[in-house]
Amino acid sequence: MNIYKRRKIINAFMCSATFICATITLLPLISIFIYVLSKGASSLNISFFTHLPRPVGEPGGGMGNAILGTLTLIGLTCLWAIPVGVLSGVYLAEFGNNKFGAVVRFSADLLNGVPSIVIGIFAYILFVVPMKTFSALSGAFALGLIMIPTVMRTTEEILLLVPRTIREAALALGISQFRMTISIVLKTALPGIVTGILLAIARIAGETAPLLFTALGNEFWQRGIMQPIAAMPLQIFAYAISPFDDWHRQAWAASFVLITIIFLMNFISRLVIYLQRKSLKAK
Amino acid sequence: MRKFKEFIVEKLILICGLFCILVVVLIFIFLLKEGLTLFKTVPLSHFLFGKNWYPISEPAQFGILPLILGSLLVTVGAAIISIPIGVGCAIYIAEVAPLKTKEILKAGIELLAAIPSVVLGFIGMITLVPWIKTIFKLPTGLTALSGSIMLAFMAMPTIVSIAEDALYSVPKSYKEGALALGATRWQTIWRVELSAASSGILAAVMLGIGRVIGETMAVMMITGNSAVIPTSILEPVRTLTATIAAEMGEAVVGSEHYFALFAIGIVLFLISFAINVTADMFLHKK
Repeated sequence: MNIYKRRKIINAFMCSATFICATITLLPLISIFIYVLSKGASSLNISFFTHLPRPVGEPGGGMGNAILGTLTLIGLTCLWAIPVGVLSGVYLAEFGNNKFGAVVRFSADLLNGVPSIVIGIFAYILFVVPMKTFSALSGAFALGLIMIPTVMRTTEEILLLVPRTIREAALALGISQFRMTISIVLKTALPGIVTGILLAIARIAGETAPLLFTALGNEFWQRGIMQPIAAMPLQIFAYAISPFDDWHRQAWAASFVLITIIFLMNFISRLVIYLQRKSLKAK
Repeated sequence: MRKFKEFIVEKLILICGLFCILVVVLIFIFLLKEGLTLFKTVPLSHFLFGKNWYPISEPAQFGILPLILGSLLVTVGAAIISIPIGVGCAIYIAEVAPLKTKEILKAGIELLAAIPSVVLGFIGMITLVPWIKTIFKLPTGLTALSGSIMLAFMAMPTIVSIAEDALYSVPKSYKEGALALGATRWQTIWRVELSAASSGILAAVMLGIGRVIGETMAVMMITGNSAVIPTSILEPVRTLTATIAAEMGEAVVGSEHYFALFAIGIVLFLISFAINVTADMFLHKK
């Protein structure tokens, strides 16, 4: 066999091998979605969204409290993590082009890489141990620490895409640098920042480990942010490791709802970020 | 007044910039404060190299060697599966795939990354674990292998997206040069692009591994959670993260057991620190 033929065969073989790798990577995604859909959709009904969980043996019941709990946790988290994340993103983009900015960037990446269970026990000793109670508040703190690095880095990325000319024009008109940052640059980049936030929310919506020792979970409707609170991932975990078929069905339904929410948020945010980049680059 | 407002905003932005550094330092200090208390009663070498993790027996033993080996076994297994497939997939996306397929694949991989680990763990428990049990004729399917396979899928999105970025940022002139010299597409990828992007790909691998080591829920659900030194990949293991998750709820605050769990937290923190420093070095080596 001559060398040309051999090269061609190797080329075709290896290129198809990479195609197979891509298929192997995506296959589970599709099969997982179909599997969860087929298992979960049949257990979904109105009472799943409105009722409390029932004890073992009693059929029916729902996860109304866990759905509400997850929404509450997300709301509480956003309340503090969005301002901190966005402002630190602003810091990095506008003033972070130095050694100190590099340190901030590195610590954001590190915070992003710290196992979520470690963040969970950090929130546990910071809030739960001194307050002597598990609480929604401590859960929101832990989730915030996971959310901030994501929001921060996407904000930075988007702000850096804002064209120099816009900044220069604003400065030339005589406004100060901070005014320019807040009312011109942030405003231009707003859609991008919002999508970054949506992505971060999609990520924390499914987090379980940091909530184990902070939000703890709750069988009943929540009674305030200083009390334990139910959350969908926690409920899925508790039901999944139980031996009861009925609970498994509920866990599938909850997985289906959770995955649907997360996929929708991802989809919307990708779409917006795509349009935003396109329009910014066109300018 | 305007000056004052600007001053406030300026300081606020600076404080937020400082926030991440502050949190990372605080996490480390708090872990140290709780974790180091353990070493007043248990020597460090017994902790790191002790072969028995019996936190509630009398006398309690806090050797985390089985847990470290458990984490290591699951991680190595996941790395062996996910690195070749992940890098292969990145090559396909960056170099081989037509434009439309590329966009679809990238979106799909981002979705894969978004699936909550507790859901992946649940699916693994119901599907993968029984398969492993029947295929290898084992008494239980809750093994390190099941954990490795499931975690490989969690590491894949990280590896693929960072490696793809690295391949994409190789200057086009390199590729054109190689092709002009008569190299085939694969030779260009293998000899030129992969070596030009090698530091980015190494960073991708490191960060993927970091994700695997830190993963808690899926591992806790499908690796069987038995804290013994594993002798093969077909045995149940328990990882560092799963130990904290499973036992923190029962450990009495201020007990040796509680301090030991925080000491495990220190180990995990140091591991993720080392991984991030290495990845950072690879990423900025230009």
